[in-house]
Amino acid sequence: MAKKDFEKALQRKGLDNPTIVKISAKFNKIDEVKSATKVQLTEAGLDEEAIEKIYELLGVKKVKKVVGGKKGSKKAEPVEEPKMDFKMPLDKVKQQSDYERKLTKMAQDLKLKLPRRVVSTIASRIEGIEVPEAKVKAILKKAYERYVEHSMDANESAGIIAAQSIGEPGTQMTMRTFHYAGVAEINVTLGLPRLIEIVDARRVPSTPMMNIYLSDENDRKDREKVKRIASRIETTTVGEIADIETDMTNMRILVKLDEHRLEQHELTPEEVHARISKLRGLKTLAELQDNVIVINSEEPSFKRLQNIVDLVRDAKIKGVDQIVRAIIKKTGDEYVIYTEGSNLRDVLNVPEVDKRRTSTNSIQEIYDVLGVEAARQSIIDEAYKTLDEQGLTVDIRHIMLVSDLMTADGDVKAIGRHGISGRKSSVLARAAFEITAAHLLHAALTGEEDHLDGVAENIIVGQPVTLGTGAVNLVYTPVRRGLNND
Amino acid sequence: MLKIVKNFITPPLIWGHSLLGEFMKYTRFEKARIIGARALQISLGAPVLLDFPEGVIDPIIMAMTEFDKGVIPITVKRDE
Repeated sequence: MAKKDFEKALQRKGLDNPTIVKISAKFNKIDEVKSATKVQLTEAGLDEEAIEKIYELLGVKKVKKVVGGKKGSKKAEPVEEPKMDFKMPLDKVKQQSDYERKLTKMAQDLKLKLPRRVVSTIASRIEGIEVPEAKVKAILKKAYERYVEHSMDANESAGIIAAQSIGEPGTQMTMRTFHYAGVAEINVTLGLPRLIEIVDARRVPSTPMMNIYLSDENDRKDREKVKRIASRIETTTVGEIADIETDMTNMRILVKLDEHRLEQHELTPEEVHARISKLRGLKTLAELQDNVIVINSEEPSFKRLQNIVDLVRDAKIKGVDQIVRAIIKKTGDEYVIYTEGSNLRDVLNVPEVDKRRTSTNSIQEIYDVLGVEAARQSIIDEAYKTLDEQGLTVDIRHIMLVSDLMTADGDVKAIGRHGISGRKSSVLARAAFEITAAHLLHAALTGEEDHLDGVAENIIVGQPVTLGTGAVNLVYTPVRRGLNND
Repeated sequence: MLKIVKNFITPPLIWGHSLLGEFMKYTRFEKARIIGARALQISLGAPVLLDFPEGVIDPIIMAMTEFDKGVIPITVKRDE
């Protein structure tokens, strides 16, 4: 099997058959051929010309005897072009309005360092209302004042405050796991279990879900069109559109296609037949007679027959993998598709889908498809939503801190043993968290160092912690005698 | 009104203003630390820098007054 694949691969590279036979007799992998020396290839029974050709077709650079020559000898393989372009088009980034720009300018003139978000919020509130310039300036000044007031002091123990601020409302969360979230029939994990799930950075959420928006203005208002797209996204199996019967006397299986359901899913009997014929072991056995597909068993065994029934029933005809169900619901003036199961990459490849608004509740998937920054934002959104749904208001900055911490290293890490707490650089901090003896023993054996930068280490050692007052270094500043004092 | 007795002291970092003239504030931790350090000195018998009226004996109050006047010759070193 592997040999065949190898031969095929060589064929694709454009080598001729006699050469391939000779190569495959000696080598098993393309890489082996590439790294093979000329002598090795001659041993395989190839002549000079064929070897040259192999080198050329496999893209092997001739090893030149250049002194000091790592240069260019190992050129990286051309990176495969990404299949999709998920970049947001620049022209679709929201531009600042004229009024916002005016306010930004004004703030700059007043030397107020306000974030763009604050300026645009103010602009949206007072735009269109007659406000004298002096008043606007006063508003900006006041906003800046409040903004500075809200900023945190240096050395403030932000992490502990965040932990408390999320933890306390967490105690009030109900243990009720399931809840039918707005949309009929789809149930979603909510509350404490969901929060734990987010913070643990689980690979797959217990109830993966997607919200799919459509990009076309008219399509998304057309119920029928949205419904059709939804049915294209939803996985459809043969069992859903046909009745499968076992004909014991003739040892065959009848797949009776339901015309109505076929129409709903925009399928033709031929398509279904083609799909069934592709199944393993059923290549030539299926026949289409009117609306019935007859599958003859090649061997007279009930077990085999039963196997075929199972195989056929679960055969996927169309749809996106993992999307078990798709439901449409009107939100505002457009229809949105809600799905049970999640597959962001493939759903984004459906042409009608709005790539910018479509989302999933699987953070790992977002990380895989869109990257860390998206994953970070998604953690914030999901955690905030979960708390908000329980009627708990937690300042978003606490959640942002948690999310930042989880994604700081470029991938999504859990909080806890396998994530942040378990990978602290300080031995003493890790020992304070869990399995004290093991950590200390390991540190002693390997001679680890501890720079006493964190809180836990300093408490263990008996020093002031590096937070708050403990982090301030005082300097005596004598002033020379005779300096004027005004 | 309190009078500054030791007039050779001009801290470079008077409350609210840095050397560069930019508006700059001590954080509450820094303020607490400076006042605390100064209060300890006073409580141990260090000469006070202001002329306190009779009856003011609490070193913490004295340190705080000194801090507000900006006469404490102590600053903080930031960003190590």
